[in-house]
Amino acid sequence: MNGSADFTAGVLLASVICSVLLLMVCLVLLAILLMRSRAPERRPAPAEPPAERPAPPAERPAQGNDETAGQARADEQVQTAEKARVSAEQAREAAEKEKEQALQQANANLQWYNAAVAETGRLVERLNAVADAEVRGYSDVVVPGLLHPQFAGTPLSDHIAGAEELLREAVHATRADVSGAARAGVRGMAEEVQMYLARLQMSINEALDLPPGTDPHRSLVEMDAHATWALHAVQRLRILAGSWPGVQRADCTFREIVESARGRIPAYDRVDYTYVPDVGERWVEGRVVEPITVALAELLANATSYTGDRVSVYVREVPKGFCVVIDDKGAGLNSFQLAEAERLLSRQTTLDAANLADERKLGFAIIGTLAHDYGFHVDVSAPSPSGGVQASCLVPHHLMSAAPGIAAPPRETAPPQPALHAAPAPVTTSHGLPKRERRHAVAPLSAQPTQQSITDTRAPEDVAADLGKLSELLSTGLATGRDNDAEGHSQP
Amino acid sequence: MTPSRHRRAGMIRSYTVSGGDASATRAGLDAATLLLADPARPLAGLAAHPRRVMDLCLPGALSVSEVAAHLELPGAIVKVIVAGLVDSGHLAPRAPFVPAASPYSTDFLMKVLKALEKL
Repeated sequence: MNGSADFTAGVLLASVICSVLLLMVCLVLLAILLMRSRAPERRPAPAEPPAERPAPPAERPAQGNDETAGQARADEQVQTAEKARVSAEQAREAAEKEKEQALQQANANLQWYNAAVAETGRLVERLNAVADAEVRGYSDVVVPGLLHPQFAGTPLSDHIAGAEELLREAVHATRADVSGAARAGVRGMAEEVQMYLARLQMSINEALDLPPGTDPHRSLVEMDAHATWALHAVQRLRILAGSWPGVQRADCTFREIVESARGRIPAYDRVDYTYVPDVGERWVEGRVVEPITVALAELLANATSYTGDRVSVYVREVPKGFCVVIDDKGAGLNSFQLAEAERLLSRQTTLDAANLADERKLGFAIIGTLAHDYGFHVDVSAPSPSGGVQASCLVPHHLMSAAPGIAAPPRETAPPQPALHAAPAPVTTSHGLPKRERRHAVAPLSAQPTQQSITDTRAPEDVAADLGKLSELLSTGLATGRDNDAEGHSQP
Repeated sequence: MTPSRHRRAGMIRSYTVSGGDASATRAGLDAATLLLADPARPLAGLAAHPRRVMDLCLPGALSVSEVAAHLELPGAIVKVIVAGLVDSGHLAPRAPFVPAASPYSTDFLMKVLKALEKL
């Protein structure tokens, strides 16, 4: 009986311990669940009664045998259960607190995030202010500080300061770069102008040293050349800086344009212009005369500077207008130079740091600017039959002009056979020169002043006839004079 | 002188025409020298200015100064061009009438005046 009671008590104890353990496990699980889920109100009610219920039926058989021991054990059990409950309660509270803390943290994080976004916005404002101050040179710009003072001393404020510093550095570096290149370009051009002007002064000095009465023509021609080249150097600088060529011309012929362009380069004596009256005497509108001349001078300068050979120039008619073609026998452009040249020719390039360094590129930049502004086209991509570069300048029909005031010059319409040699017999003098019969027979003076009307507007045969007549009369006059003289001498 | 003429002045610099050589190779040329063109000579291959001188002279005789006026070039430059054409046979210079008497004697000038009045 005792053994069985002991056994029963042992079983009871074991069951109680088991149930307490179970209860604790349940409570821990519940606490975990509580912490995880946001429903702290869900009490572990369904789990608790089953854990406590098994105890009373187990106690009942013990009452009869060992009541005090059972009571003590029950008390112990209750205490343990109470402890477990308290600890569960504590865990729940801790979880609750943690949750609140997490919520607070999340709120704080959100505030920081919003502050950081606002601060980034402020950074853009600050960079803008820095750009105003550094790039645009506004003197009264105040660069704003931090929007939220709490960022002071944090890595964020360091990064912002770093970004500002980077912008300042970039601005300064770019400015130094551009101004350095621009200075180099302007310096080169100034040196060129100064060189020509110094030579001009030397020519003037030489002319002043000439003995009195010497023909100064040779000195004047020399001075003219140096002045022209200095003028061209200054002109290309102003065009690169975005100005117009500075000279307004009247309508000119292609011959005048090519000859003028030729005179603007020092190597003018290596340029062969094949003159064909048909196209050479076509008129170009005055508005574009100077730009085209400057562009041709640049092309000729390029052509002559890259070859020691002669450079040939001719004008030909194409369907779209007239083409001035410049052929050199130099090495030609490689594909990179060609691409660069086409890039510069195709668009307007204002005074740009990248374009001032290289002399050859400078020329293309000038040509590109002029072509863009005045509507003619320059192309250097066509292969030259002589192996070098063939540059062509297309002047479209709408930039051409009708002959100004005068139709074809009278020399062109004159009969191919000169009157001197084909004049009919009746109107020749005894010397074989054509003889003008009556003054009124001459064609009346043309109403409009013309290019040829410097001395007169008459055909050369008339002029020649006049000269012949004059000569004849003078001869007769002289003869009579001689006779008179002879008579006069013989009289006394 | 029309305005357009004024604005075309200075386009062509004289040194490009003469090739930098301002002195004519022929001493016999002066402003009054008459120029007679030889029509048999080919015009192809002539530069722009010699070609224009030929175009001016082919229909009849012109003096050097008249050619200079038509070409709008200084007389000294035209002399250089003409000298080149004379050398190549394109032009034949004909000395203008040179009176045997002194060209500055009053009697002679009076006779010239009378002759001119008869024209």
